[in-house]
Amino acid sequence: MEIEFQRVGKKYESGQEALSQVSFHLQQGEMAFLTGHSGAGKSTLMKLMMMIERQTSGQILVDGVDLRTLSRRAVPQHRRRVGVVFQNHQLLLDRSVFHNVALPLQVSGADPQQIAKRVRAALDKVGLLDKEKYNPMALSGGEQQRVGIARAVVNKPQLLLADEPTGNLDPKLSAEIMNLFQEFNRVGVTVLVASHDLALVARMRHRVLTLNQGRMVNDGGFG
Amino acid sequence: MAQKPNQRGATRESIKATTHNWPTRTTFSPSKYFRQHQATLTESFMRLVSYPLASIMTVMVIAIALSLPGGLYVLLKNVQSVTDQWEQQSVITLYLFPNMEDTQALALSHRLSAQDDIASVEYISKEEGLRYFEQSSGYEQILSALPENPLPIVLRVIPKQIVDITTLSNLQALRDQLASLKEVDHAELDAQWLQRLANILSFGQRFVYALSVLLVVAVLLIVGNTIRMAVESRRDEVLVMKLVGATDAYIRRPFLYMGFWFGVLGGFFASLCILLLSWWVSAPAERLIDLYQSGFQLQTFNADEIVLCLTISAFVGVFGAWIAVNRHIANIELQ
Repeated sequence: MEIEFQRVGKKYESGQEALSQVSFHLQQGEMAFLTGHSGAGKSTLMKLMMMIERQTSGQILVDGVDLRTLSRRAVPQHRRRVGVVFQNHQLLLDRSVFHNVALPLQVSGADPQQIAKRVRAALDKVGLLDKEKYNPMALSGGEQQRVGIARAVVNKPQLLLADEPTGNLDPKLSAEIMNLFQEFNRVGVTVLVASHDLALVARMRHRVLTLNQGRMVNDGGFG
Repeated sequence: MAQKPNQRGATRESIKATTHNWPTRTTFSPSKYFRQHQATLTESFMRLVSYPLASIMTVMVIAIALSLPGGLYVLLKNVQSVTDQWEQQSVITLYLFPNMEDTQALALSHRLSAQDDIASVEYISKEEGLRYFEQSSGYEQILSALPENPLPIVLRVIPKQIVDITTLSNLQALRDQLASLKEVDHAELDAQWLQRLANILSFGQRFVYALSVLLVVAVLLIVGNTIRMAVESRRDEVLVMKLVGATDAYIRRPFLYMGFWFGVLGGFFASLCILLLSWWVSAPAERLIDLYQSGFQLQTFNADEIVLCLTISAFVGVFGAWIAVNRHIANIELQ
């Protein structure tokens, strides 16, 4: 999936300006990091891509399509093409790992056999195939995050977004998670990872976008 | 960091294998749609069962709210079926103008007998009227003291229709028509008591309708509130479903089915209540009926009415849920 931001701004009703004049272009199959202090606008930028929020100025083009032209009904279709991983993983604790990962497929109406196959493949990718019957609460922080990743990729998204996916993890687990993202990128998924762990980002040697108080202050380099 | 192959059971091959064949756009398929609905129907029922106490309380509140208008409806139905049997030969009495000649009156009498809706016309001349009056009233002396016969010619018109609640308005129309004839001074339909009864019944009917509307609105609010709480308690789930691309319709569906179950179960128990209640009052009611030796049979909810009750309650349940869900799902967004 190809993403292009053209002088995008987001101003909340409170008057707070979360993003202003943000422009960048993410090629199909590219992997990039998004860094910046907390409050710099990383999450807002991710929300705009997910169409959780709408920009107040500028244009966001996804595969050449202006997101503003999408109707309310098209939003779910858009989200099915985007996988998201959150820092606080957003897993549902009333169901097993399997059913958490299955959710995006159930929502799009896949048939049960297909769901089982794809969920197991996704869990295999993140190395949790043997934990499918567990409740997410019974897993470690790193494992929970990997369940979150499995859920994000189970629908075979064309864009993978991760908002501080390593926020609560130690360096070794963080590196493993990052490697996982890299592997998805190698098979053609466009990946954007928001992280404030500059040392880790630098080691990954990918493009780095840096936000500061809602403005894009650096695009390129390796952090 | 050195990459160990198979460290987490993940290999490049397995990733490749599942990343090929990107999903094409979801297309509509009736069997898939039906399967989803069926699954949600069962799921939402199981969800009710998993909170038995709360569910039973909601269902019983709905059942009680519905059994009240239902019970009154049955009562009204019984009263109506009693009154429907109170029929009598209807008579419209025409008092002609005092100056009317016998020939004119007889002509009118023949004309009326030929009319389609009239069975027969009985002609009572002034003299017959006087004789009849003398016999029955005991006023012979006063009458004989009068210089001439003060009574008018009277025609007793027997309409083909017998008078009961349903034909009353037809007969009244006939009475009005006859009253407007130029020979007729005054026309009287002997059915005043029936008129009063009809008024009371229509009052009762309106009362039941108004009460039904109020209680149906109450059920709507009960279901709405219950569903609102259900949405609130599943906030996280709704949020995650939205993020992974669930349509509003998909998110709404389990709650609508929940409303459906509340409605159907409430309607079912309301029907049960009414049947039990009718059975309970049937023994004294039948003794009462025996006293009057009437052919009347106690009415209760019949199959059609049970189906109607379930349909209405299911509809109200779904509608109440729909209002609540639409209001609340829109408010759940990632903060």
